[in-house]
Amino acid sequence: MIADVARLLAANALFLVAGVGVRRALARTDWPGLVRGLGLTYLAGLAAFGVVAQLALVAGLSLNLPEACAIAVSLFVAGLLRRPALTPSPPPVFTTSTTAVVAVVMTALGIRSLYEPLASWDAWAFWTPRAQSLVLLNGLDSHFLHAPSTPNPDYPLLLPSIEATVFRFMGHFDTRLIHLQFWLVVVAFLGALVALLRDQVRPAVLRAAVVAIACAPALASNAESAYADVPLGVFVALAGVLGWRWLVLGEESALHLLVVFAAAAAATKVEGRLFVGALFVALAVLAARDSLRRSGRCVAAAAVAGAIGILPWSVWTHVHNVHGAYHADLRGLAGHADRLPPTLATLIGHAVDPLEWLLLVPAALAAVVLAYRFAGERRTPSLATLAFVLSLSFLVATYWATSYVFEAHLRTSADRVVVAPVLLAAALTPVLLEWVLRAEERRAAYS
Amino acid sequence: MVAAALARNAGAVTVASDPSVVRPYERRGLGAARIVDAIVGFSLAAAILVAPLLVWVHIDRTVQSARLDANAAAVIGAKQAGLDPTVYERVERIVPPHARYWIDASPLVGGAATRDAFMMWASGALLPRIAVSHPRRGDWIVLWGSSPSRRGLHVVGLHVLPIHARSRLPVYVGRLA
Repeated sequence: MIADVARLLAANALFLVAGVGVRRALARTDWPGLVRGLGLTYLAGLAAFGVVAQLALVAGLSLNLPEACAIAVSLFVAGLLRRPALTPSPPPVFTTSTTAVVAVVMTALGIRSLYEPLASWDAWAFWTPRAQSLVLLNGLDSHFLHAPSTPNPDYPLLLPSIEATVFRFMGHFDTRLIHLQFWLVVVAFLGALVALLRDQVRPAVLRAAVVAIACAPALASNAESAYADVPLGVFVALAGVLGWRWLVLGEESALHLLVVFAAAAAATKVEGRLFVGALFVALAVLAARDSLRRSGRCVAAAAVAGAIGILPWSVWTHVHNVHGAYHADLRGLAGHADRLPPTLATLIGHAVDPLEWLLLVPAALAAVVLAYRFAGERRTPSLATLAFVLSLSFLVATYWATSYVFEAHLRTSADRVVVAPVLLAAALTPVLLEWVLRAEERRAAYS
Repeated sequence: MVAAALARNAGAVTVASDPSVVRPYERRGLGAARIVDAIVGFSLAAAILVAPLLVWVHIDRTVQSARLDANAAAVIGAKQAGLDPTVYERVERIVPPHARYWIDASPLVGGAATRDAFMMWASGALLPRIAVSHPRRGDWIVLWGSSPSRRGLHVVGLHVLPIHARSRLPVYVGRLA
C-alpha cells in the first residue's frame, strides 16, 4: 500500500508542477505566493491538467505516462515564460485550536480514504471504469462509449483523465486508494480558500468558514463516494471566489484563473455547464452595471472556458454519435408542473439539512441579507444570490424536464447535485460577512 | 470569544481598494457586527460539536473497511448489487481480451437494478473487452438467467457458469457461431 500511496502522490506532484506554471502564467504569482497558496496551486494544476488531458484524448492521444508528464511539464514551462509580480505576504489565518480541529477531521478522513472500498454505484458503474478504459484501450474508444452497459457516455473526461493518470502511475487499478485522490482535492480546497481570501477576510471569519466547511458531513461522504460532485463543487466554488475578486476588487488575473476553474468544472460533469453558466451570467450582469466593456470581458472569458472545457468534447461526441440517456423533455413541461414543488423542496431540503451541510447555507443566507442591509456594496451579495439562485433554477429545470423516472431521478441524485451550489455559497459567506463588518467599522469611525 | 477574535483580527486585514476603511470596530452599538458574531459563532460551534462525531464515523468506517482484504474490497460494489463477482473472472478466462461481447440478463434473475448492475459491472470488470448493443455486432455472448438457445442464438463452446448470488440461475458464455 505504501508504494501505491507514493505513486499516487507522485502523480499529484505532477499536477502540482502543472499548477506552478498555471499560476505563474495566469496569475503572475511569485514563488513565495505559490508556496503559501499550495492548495490553490495544486488545484489550478489539477484543473488545467484535466482540461488539457481531455483535449489530448479528444485529439487521439492515449494519455500514457510520457504524455501525462509532457502535459504537466508544458504547463510548468508556460509559467516560466512570464515574470511574476511580487505578492504581498498576508497575515496568518490559523490558530493552534482551529488548525487542530481541521487537522484531526481531515486526518481521520484521509486514513479512511486509504481503506474505503469502491462501493458507490456510479463510481464503480462508470466513473472508475471510464478511467480504466482510458488506460486499457489506450485513450478514447467510441465503441466502449457506445456499449449499452456504459452509462452516461456523454459525461466529460476530466475526472477519468485524472484517475487514469493516477492508475498509470500506480501500474494497476487500486480502487481503494483512488479515494485518496478525492481527499487531496478536499484538503487542497480548504487551503485554496484560505489562499484566495486571507488578504481580504479577517482571520476569525475565515477560520470559522474553513472549519465549518471541513466539518460538513456531506463533504466527507460525497468525497468518499468517489463521484465527481466534490471536484466539481470545488472548481465551482473557487471559480466563484475568483469571479468575486475580479468583479469587486478588479483583479484581472483572477479572471484568468477563473477561466481555468470554469473550464475544469465544465469538463468534470454535465451539471458543471449549468453552474459555470450561472456564475458567468451573474458576473456579466453585475459587471454590466460598471461598464459594458467589463461585461464583454466576462462573456469572452465564458466563451474561452466553454471553448477549452467542453466544446472539443461536445464535437467529439457529436462526430462519434455518442449520446447520453438524459434528454430534456421540453414538450411535456406544461404537463409536469407538479414536479416543481417536490424538486425545489428536495434540493433546498438537502442544502439546508444540518446533518449534511451543518449551517453553511443558512449562514450564507443570513450573510446575504446582512450584506444587502448593511454592507453598502451590493455587488457581493448580488453575485452570491444570483449565482446560487440561477444554479438552483437550472437544477430545477433539469428535473422538471427529465426524461428519466422523475421520482427515482430526484431521489438518487438531489443530495449530490447540491454540492456545488452549497460550496459556492459557503465560499462566498466569509466575504459577505467581512464586508458587513467593514461597513460597520466605517460607520463607527465616521460617527 | 468569537467577538473578541473578530475585533482582535480586524486590524490585520488590508483592503486592496481603500486601506483606510479597515479599523478595529467598536462592538457597542454595532447591531450588524453582533449578528455577524452570532453567525460566525453558531457556524463554528456547530462544526466543533459535530467534529468528534465525524471523526468517530471515519474511524468506525476505517475499521470496517480495513477488515476487507484487497480482493473483497475490489468487488464489494458487485456484492452489494446482488451479483457474484467471481463470475466475471471466469468470463475473463473464456472471452479473449479485446473481443466484443453481447451481454444481457433475464428478468428471472431479479429486478431491473440487478440486471443493470450485472451489465454495468461487466463494462469495467471485463475491459479491455467491449460490450456491443446487439448480438450481431459481437463475437461472444454473456447471458445471465437464460440460455442462448432460448434467445434464438447459436453458439459454439457454450460454458455454463454456476453463480453464488441471490439468483442461482447460471451465466451462459459462448462464442457466436
